[in-house]
Amino acid sequence: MAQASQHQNGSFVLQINASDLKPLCADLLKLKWDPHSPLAFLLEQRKTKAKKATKALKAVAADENTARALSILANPQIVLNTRMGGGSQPFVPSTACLAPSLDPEVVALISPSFEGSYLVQLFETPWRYLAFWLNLNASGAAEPIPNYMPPPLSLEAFVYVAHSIDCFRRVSLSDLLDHENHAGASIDPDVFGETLGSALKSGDMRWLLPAFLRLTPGLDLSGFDEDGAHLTALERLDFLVPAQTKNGRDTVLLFGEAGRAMGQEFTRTWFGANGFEWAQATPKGLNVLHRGFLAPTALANHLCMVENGSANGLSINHQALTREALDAHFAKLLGRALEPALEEGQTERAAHGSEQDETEAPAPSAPKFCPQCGGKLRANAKFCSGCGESVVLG
Amino acid sequence: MTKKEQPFSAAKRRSMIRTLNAAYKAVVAASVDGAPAASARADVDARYTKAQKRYRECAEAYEKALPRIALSRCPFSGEVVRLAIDNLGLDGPWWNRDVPVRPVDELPASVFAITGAVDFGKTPPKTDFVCMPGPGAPYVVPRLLTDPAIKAVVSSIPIGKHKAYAVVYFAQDTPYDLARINRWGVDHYLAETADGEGYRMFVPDYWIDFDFDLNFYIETGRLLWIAPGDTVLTLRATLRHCPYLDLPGHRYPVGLLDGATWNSLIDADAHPKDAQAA
Repeated sequence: MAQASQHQNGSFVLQINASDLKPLCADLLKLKWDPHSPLAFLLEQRKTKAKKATKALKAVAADENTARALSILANPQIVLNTRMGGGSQPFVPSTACLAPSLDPEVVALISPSFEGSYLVQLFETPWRYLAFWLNLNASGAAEPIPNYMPPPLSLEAFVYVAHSIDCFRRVSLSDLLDHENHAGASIDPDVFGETLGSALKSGDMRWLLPAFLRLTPGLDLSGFDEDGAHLTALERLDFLVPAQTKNGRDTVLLFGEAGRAMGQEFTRTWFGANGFEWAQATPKGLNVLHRGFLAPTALANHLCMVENGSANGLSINHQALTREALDAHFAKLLGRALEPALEEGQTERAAHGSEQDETEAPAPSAPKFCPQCGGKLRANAKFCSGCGESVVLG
Repeated sequence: MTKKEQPFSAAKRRSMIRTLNAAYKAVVAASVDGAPAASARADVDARYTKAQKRYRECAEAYEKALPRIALSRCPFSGEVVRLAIDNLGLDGPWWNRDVPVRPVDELPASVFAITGAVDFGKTPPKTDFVCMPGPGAPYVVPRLLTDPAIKAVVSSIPIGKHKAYAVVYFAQDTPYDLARINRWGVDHYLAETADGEGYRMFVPDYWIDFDFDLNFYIETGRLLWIAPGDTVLTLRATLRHCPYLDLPGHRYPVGLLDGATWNSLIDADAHPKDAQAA
């Protein structure tokens, strides 16, 4: 099965069986793919018998957009890998690519679809892709809320914080099952430690910590040490506070203000997450530009950017963002990520002396399409004339 | 020699302030009203230049000796804000509103404004210059915090025997068209335009720029705090245990001179000496 269609919003969509990818790319379009291409994995891992191109496949290959999309996916200069999942969502990896030297601004996206097929989509600008991605993965949170885990936070401390949120969810669910409602929710320190150990191994993305670990690319917790110092961080941030039981013999960890607020938020309104890694393809390999994890709730978009910490370790920069702030943040990141690739693309096109050389690549900081509805914007527009959305991108 | 080996001791500071005051007086004495006679012009110029050079040397020595205090932390990047500040008393020229002696601080790019408050209790300290240390309790400027790109952090440091509160405003993307607020203790602020051009701006104090009810700003994530004495400078966002709520102290920016105080919102320059002169 291979079917190309044009969406109502003008974007191109191709649905294709995995078994048709090789004949389409290699035989009909004569494409060569580089090692960073998302097609490389699909085409090289898949040991299928040589399949003859059908008439339908030839028709798809003849579509100009098919060639555009697959050429970009085969030789990307910017690779935007995302992994959706967590909460109640299934695990869905997808990769968007840009190749400014081939096509100045177009983004091609490939993601798995049903019954072993793939969806290939084209977006006329990175901003359209960004709007699509944010609409899919962010919440519309409009009011600012406190950031209970502001930077800097070491990766290890973040693991403890995420686990304490899961522990609150665990205690809440347990209360629900037992028809109880404890005003002063707490957890036994031993249970906290044991469940942390199992959460780290579980990969069960219904819980926040395993979702963070599985969805965020490039995290390595093989040397993770359960250190009591991180419990101190939890106390300092008011997530979990050690206290004595009434008999004075046992210690429990009481959920503090931050622990309760974020615990309740994630228990009641967390619905999914997305890990992402944006990288620039270079001859030496992928140069990672941005890496992070986005967990939207009804109250905020929890953006956790993975950064290099001070002590050679990784640190997490967490921000609780409204949708408006999130849009602005990603627009800035995308603008920065695109700058070198667009410049490189311009240079290459100039060197080839193609007709396209005469059209300047638009500045990445000035979106031309509405992040909300994708409609075209007038120059310097502050609001979209189509849907009225305030244009915060750029 | 590093800063740690050069403690800003009370004795050293006293001596520096004495020398600096003497140098300042010499500059004032060397300046003359009107144009000097042609024959005396070279002498006057030389005397003035010498006095000014001496004053600049003393000021630079004081600036250099000031401790760089880790005062705050950016809630967007986690970077630490270090400020060179005279933390031994309000009588140091760092606190002189009109002729402040301050080095240019190297601050994170996200720092948008720095202000503060000093609670000196019932006994105002004596200063021989106009000192504007702010109100007696920490406050925020609502018009800055309505901008979604701005967050503030309140922290505390002792200034001599007084409790002082610093409030640093951070902007993730500098809103260049938004008027800032005067730097803590002076009547102006220094900033850069979007093109990187430096400028100096004076902003008058309005009562509406002083909100002492911090709860709302903490609850909505606009204000974070650092616990007194926390050397790690952990940013906190909870209301529970926040030590900056409902503190005593003047609810208006205080003017100080010779141990007398006044409400500078009513008149920025009014003080007992003026009143006597009038």
